[in-house]
Amino acid sequence: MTAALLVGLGVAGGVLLVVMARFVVGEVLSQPEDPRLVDDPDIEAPGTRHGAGTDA
Amino acid sequence: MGRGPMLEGLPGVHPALILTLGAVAVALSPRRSRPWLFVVAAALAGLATLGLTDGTTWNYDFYGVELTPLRVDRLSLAFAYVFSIALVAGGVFGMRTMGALERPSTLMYAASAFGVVFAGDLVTLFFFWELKVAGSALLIFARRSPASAGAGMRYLFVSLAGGIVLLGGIGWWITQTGSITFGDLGLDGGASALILVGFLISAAAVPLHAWMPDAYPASTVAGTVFLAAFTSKAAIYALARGFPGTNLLIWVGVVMALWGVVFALAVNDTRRMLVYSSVSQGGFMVAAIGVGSALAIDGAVSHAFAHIVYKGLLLMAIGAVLWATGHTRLTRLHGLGKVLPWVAVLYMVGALSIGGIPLLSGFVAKEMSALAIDDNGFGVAYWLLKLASVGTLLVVVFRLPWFTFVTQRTTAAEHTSVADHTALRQRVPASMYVAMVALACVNVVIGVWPNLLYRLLPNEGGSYEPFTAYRVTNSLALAVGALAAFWVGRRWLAGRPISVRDTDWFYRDLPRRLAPTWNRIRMPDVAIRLPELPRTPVWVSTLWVSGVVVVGVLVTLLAVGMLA
Repeated sequence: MTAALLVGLGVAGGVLLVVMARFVVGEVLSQPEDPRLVDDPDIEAPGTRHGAGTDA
Repeated sequence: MGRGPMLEGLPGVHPALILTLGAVAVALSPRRSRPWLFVVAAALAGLATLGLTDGTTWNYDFYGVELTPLRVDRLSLAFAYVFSIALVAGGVFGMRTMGALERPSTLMYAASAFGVVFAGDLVTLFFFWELKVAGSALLIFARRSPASAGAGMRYLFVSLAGGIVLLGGIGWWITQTGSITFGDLGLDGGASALILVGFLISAAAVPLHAWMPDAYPASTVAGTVFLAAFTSKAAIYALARGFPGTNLLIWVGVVMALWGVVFALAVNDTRRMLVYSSVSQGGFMVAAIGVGSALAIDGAVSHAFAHIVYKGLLLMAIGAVLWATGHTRLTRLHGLGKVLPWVAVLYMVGALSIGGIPLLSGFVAKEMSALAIDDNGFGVAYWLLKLASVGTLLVVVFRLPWFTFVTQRTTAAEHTSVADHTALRQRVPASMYVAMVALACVNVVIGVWPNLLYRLLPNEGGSYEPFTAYRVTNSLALAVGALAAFWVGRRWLAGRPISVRDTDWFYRDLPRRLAPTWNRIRMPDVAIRLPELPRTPVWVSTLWVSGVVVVGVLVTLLAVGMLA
C-alpha cells in the first residue's frame, strides 16, 4: 500500500515539481544568460590565463 | 568517558594545529612538493582525529576567561571523521588542478572547520567560524575569473553579515547567562535567536541561502568539493549542538528541502544544480535536528556524513567534466558518456546514493531522520520531505546525467555544436580518478555495512535497521515514480540558456534598479547621483562589505563593553 502511494507521489509530485521549475522559476525568476560571465571556457586549462596559477 | 580511542597510543593533538602548520609548510615549500605535502598534512590531521578520545578537553586561560579549544565527544568526532575523509580525497582530486593560493587556503579553511566542531566554548567557536569564512572566500577567488570575483565578494558580504549576527548573539548570550560554554542553547530569547540566525545563514536556510548556489559553483574545480564539505556541514553541526529539538527547524528544513530541488530543476549550470541539491539535503538534516530525538540526531549526523561523501563524489565527477571540457552548463554538455565513461559511472554511484538506492550510503543514512520525523508526529513534514526526495531523484539521478552523459540533443539556442565537446580539451588526470574511486568505495562500503557508520553516531543509531523489505520496497517505489515523472516532463528539463535569480535578487539586482529611481528624485542642494550601470554595481558590494566590517567592529566593541 505504502509502495503504491510512493509511486503515485513520485509521478504526481515529480510532475508538479517539474512544472514549478519550468514555468515558475524558469520563466518568472529567470533572465537570459550572459555568456561573458558564466563558465569561462578557458577555465583552468594549464597554460591558459586562469590556469597559469596551478602547481601542476 | 565513553568508548576508547580509535587508535591506541596516538597523542591527543588538535587536527587544526596540524593543518595550520601544514598550510604554512605548503605555502613555503617548492612548487613540486606542494600537492604531496597537502595530502600528507590532510592524512596526518585524519590520524590525529582518529587518536582523539571521547571526553578529551583542552582548557586555556585567556586573560581570565577559560576557553575550551578542544572538546571531544561523539558528535564532534563524527563530523571530524568525515571532514578528514573529504580533505584527503579532495587533496588527491586536486593534485593537478590546485594553485599556489588554493592549497594553503584550503588547509586553513579545513583547520577552521575542525576548530568549529571541536570548539567547547562560544568564543573559540566564533574565532574559527570567521576564520572559516576567510579561507573559504579565498577558494572562490582562486578561480581568478570575473564571475568568481563577484561571487566571492557577495559571499564575503553575506558571511560577514552572518558573523555579525552571530557575534551579537554570542555577546548577548554571555552577558545574559555569564556562561561561554557551547552546548544546548535552546531557542529562548533574543540572544539565542541571533545565534540561531547566524547558524542558519551558514547552513543556507531559505531565504538566507542564495549565497551558496551563487558562490560554490564559482569556485575552482577542487574548491567546490571542499566548500560543499565544510561550510554548511559545520553549521549543521552547530545546529545539532546548540538547537536540538527546536521544532521551528522542522519547517525551516522542509522549506529548504523543497526550495532547493525546485531551483535545481530550473538552473542550467550543473554545479549550481548540485549545490541547490545540497540546500535541499541540508533541509533534511535541519528538519531532523528540529525533532531532536536521539534517532533524529543520529539521522541528521548520518545524513551529513553520507552527504559529504556522495556529494563530494558528484562534485568531483562534474569537476572532472569541467576540467576536461571547460564547461559546466547543461546546454553545452551532451553525450559525454562516450568520451568520459568512467566519470559517468562514478557520477552514477554518487547519484544513486543520494537517490537512496539500497546498498549505497544514502539509503542507510537518509531514511533514519525521515523515520524519526514521522515517528514524532510530524507526518505532514515527512511527506513533504518525501516529495523533496522525488525532486532529488529528478535532479541528480535523472536530469543531470541524462542530458550530460546520455543525450546527443542540443538546444536550438545553443551556438556551440555537440562535436566541440566530444573532443576533450585535456584528459582527466589519474589523481582525479583515484579520488573518485575512493569516495565511490566509501559509498558502497557504508551502503553494504551500515554499522560502520552507525557506530560513529552519537547514539550509535539506536535499534535502526535499514535493510527491511518495507524500506527497500519504498525506496525503489519512489525511484520508479520519479523516473516516470522524468520521462513525462523530460523536454521541460533540458538545459536552457537562462540565469535564474533567487533571493540574491535583493542584493544583486535591486541596487541597480533603485539607482534610476533615486536619481529621478529632485532635492534642492542635494546632488547625490547614483551611477546607472548595466550590471551589478561593484561599488555597492565594496561599500556594503566595508560597511559590514565597520558595523562588525562596533558590535564587537559593544560586546566587549557589555562583558567588561
